[in-house]
Parts: sequence; C-alpha cells; structure tokens
Amino acid sequence: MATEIQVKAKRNIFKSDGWKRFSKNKLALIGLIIITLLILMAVFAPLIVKHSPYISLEDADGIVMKNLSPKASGTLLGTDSLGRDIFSRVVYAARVSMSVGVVAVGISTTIGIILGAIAGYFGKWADTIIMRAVDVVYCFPVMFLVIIISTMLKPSIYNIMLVIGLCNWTGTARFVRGEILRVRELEYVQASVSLGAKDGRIIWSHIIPNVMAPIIVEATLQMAHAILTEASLSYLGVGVQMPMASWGNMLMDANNLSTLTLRPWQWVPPGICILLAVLSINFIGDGMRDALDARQKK
Amino acid sequence: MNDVLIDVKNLKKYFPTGTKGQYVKAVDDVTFQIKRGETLGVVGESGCGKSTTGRLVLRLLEKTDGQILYDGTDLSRIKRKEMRSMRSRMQIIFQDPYASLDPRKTVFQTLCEPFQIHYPQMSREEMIEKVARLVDCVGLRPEHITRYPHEFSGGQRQRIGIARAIALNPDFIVCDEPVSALDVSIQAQVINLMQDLKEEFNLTYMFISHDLRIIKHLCDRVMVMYLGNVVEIGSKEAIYEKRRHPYTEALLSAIPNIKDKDAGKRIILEGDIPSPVNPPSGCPFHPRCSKCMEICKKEKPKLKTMEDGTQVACHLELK
Repeated sequence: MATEIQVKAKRNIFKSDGWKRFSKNKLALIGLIIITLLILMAVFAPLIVKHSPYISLEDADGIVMKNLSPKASGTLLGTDSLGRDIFSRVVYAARVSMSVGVVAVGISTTIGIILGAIAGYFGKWADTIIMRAVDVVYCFPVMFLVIIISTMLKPSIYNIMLVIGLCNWTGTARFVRGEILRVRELEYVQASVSLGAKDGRIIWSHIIPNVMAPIIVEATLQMAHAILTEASLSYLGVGVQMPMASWGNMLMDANNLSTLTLRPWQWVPPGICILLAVLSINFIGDGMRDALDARQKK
Repeated sequence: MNDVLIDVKNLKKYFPTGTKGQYVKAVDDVTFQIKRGETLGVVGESGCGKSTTGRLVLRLLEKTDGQILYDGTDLSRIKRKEMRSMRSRMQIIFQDPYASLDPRKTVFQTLCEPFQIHYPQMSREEMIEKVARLVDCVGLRPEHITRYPHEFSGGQRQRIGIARAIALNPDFIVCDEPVSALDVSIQAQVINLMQDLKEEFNLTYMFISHDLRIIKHLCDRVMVMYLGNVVEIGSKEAIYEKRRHPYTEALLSAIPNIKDKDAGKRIILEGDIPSPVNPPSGCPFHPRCSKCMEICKKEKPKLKTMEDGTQVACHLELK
C-alpha cells in the first residue's frame, strides 16, 4: 500500500489560485510582459544591436556622426555627442540597470532576512542590538552615504551594487522581524517546538516559508527602487562610469541646454526605459501582493 | 514506575505588562498531580490560566517559579538538549485546528516531522509506513496524506493534529480545548477517537476545556481554576455532586438541564472577573462570592484536603 502513496503533490503554477488573482490585475500583467521584454533585450543585447555601443559611428567620408537625429544618421534612435548609436547604448544599459537591481536587492534581502529572523525569533538583546543598528542605518540619508562611499571606492558597477545593497536592508529586516513575531506565536510553530525541533529547523522549515510571500513582494518593490538609485547615482556621475552605458549616465550625458531642447532622441529613450522598468516592477509587486496573500484564498 | 506522572508544585507564571513592576499573574501558585493513565479535566472561565498551565507543564512557556516533576524528573533542571528528547514523551493537541497545521506542508510532511526530529536516520520507506499507520489510527484515508491542510474540514484537521501528537508514542498529552472549535456532531467523533487512543496507547491526558459536559464525560478527576488559582480539585463525582466551592457551584449550575427544569437555579455571578494584574486581596473569588465572609477579604484560603480526597480552597470548608 505504502508504495502507491504519492508523497509529493503536483502543482501547476498557471492553474493555481495565485496566478488567477495575478492575471486579473491587468496592470501587473502588462508590467510582467514589459519586464520580460526588457530582460530579453538585456540578455540578447549583442544579437539585437547593429553597432557597438562604445564605438563612434563614421560616415562614408570618415567623419564622426555626432549628434545626429534618427533620420539623419539612419539609425533607429540617432547618435549621441560622440557619435555612438543611442539604441545600442540603451540596450546595453538595460544589462547594467537590471543586474544592479537584481544583485543589490539580492544583497539587501539576504541581509534583511538573516538579521530580521534573528531579531524576531530570538528577541531580547539580539533584537535590541539589531533593531538599534537598523535605526542607525535607517537614519543615514542613503543618497549621501552612497555618494560618499562610491567616491571613496573606485566607482564601478560592482561597488554600486554593493553600496546600494548594504544601504537598503533595513526595511526588509524590520519587515521580516515583524512577520516572524507574528508567525512565531502561531500554533503550528508551537507544535514544532513541542515535538522537540531545534530553532534552526523551526525557522527554516516553518517560519521562512510562511513569510516568504510578503518578502518576495517587498524585494520586487525594492528592485524598482534600486534601479532608480543606480540611475540617480549615474546621473550624478558617481555611479556607472563612461564609457559603460547606463540609463542614468546617458541622461547625464544629455544634460545641457542645447541637447535638452534640440536633441530629444538622446534623453527620451533612456528616460522612458527607466520609467517603464520601474513602473512595471512596481505593478508586478502590487499584483504579487494580491496573488500571494493567502487570506484572499477562495 | 512512578504512580504519579505529573507533579506540579507552587507553579507560578507572571507576564510583565510593560509597566515596570506590574505583572499579569496568569498562574498564581498552582499545585496538582496527575496520575499515570488518568484524565485530569481543567475547567474555568476564559483567562483563568487553564491554557497557560498546560503550556507551562510542557515547558512551552517558561515558568516564573515553582516545580514541575515529570515522572520524577524536574523539567526545569535539565538541559535544553535533554528537554528536546524528553519532548517525545509529552505532546499537545491544540484548540484551533486551522492554526495548528503549517499551511504550506502536506499531511505527509507534517506527520514526518516528529520522526525526522527524533529518528534522523529513519529511511523514507519506513517513514511512509509509519505515517500511513498513523493516518489509519486517527481515521483518515491513505490518499489524504498528499493534501494540504486547507483541503480538510475542521474535524479532519484536528485528526491530523492528534496523529502528530501520538506519532512518537508519548505518555502524556495536554489537550488544550481540542474540540471547542468544532461542530457539536464532530466533537463527539473526535472525543471518541481520543478515548480510543487513550486505551490503545495508555495515554495520560490533561484535558483543558470550558465545556463541562465533555469534562464530565471524559475525565477521572477535575480541577477548577479561577483567576490563576486552583479553587477545587478532586474526583469527577465529588466535584459534580458535592460542589463544595461556591465558584464550582456557580460554574456547574450553568450546565443546561433538559430533563429536570427545577433542578436548581442558575447562579449568575455578579460583576466581571477581576484583572489578574491586580487580583483581589484574600480569596480571589470573594468580590463575586455570595457567601463571602470577613476573613475571605483578608486571607487567601489554602487548599484543604477533605475526607474523600477532594481539595478545596475555601474558608467555608476550612472551618
């Protein structure tokens, strides 16, 4: 008899209640499509673009095609002040922005979960120390901190990821702590204690899986924030450095009166990309919040 | 073999309220024993410390003061590691079958956990076999084990909870209002199941409930609690027939009786249960007691053992 018993239930994500709730939210669905397209664009960047994002284009006479409109240059989005193809740069910048978003949020969420879990589960002095540390980090104006650190360190994409990650874990830590305080008192956790389970087992096997849903939502929303922070830093010149392209430093590049008034093709595309990425991720986050909320279970 | 399985002496649990020096006296100096193989019913109104006492006995809460002997072993003296292995001998069945099962685990995963904790080297086949036997024991079907808790009714969930509690063959189970969240028709099934399991596995129950009929049906001895104190403890017959303590009398008069309309008037207590932060002086029940005397306001009555073995904490009986 025992052999016939299937121990694992099969679950199809597209048939789950969660997916039904998510797909009802049209904005979230559109966001998911746009983000998927942006990710595909970042992954297959070399296959999409015709010109290298780092090389100035020259015309038949060997003259650099500076500041040419799409029409004049014959490229999709025109060229920038050094004659580089804007489209290529926008596509390659997606790689930078996306990976900064993912890695920075990965760092901050990991730190947040670990510290939040320790503070929430063990309480007492561990809680006091960690939460005071959170208060301290939370008080720092992140932008200042990031600017100072990235000017001290060599400004590179990895440092940007690290700095954004190290400055943004406080929200997650607070949030995870709160969730754990809630779940810890639930009877199934008590049942596990009464069975003699060790703390690690209780945290990993009962508590974390049950607080994961809101953490994922939180992380998604954080990702939008991280992308925006990277763009702001690069715009201020302390983020991703030229010649590497990022949406932020493309905007900075276009930051002078004549470009702003006469050459919109240089700043509109990266701006739209930032807008689309951040909005889409926020909509996805909202959609997931509804989808993963077990209380809305039909 | 020790005849007394659980021996609780002067157990206290004070919760800090946040204000310095102020405590909620949830359990205030409670002494009782549970003999091997018996069922001790614990009754009292909400907030009287029934559940807290149950959890203290299992050390799910740390006591403030007092002593808990389990089969002669002082639970507060042993190390955390030993305590964890002791836990296989004592279990708990919770009140709310919706909160007591992990919503993200299948029945199989839930029922495997006791074995994974205490027998880490057990093979998967063996575990499947054990779980299948457990499921059979509590009257669920084998195909149920792949399902998640939300796919079950309250009664079925409570059966899963019971299966988890008996998985490790414990001696002692605290039943913390195990049927009060269930429909009446289901209550009877679950109670019968618990009685069957008691005989099959030689269990000792501490049965916490506010349902006086279930206590009468199920228990050998009854402990009546009020505001963190034991007011009366004795055999079921003595408690239900003699009703020595005025509070017991009032409590038992609340049992509806359809056979005999004039079987005794319902005693309605006046006022609310006092705050356990600031319990009344003397006998905790005196502000609501119809037979209150001068001494009740000053002196807290101690438990006195009567000729039939019942212990009562009341000045009326102390005289």
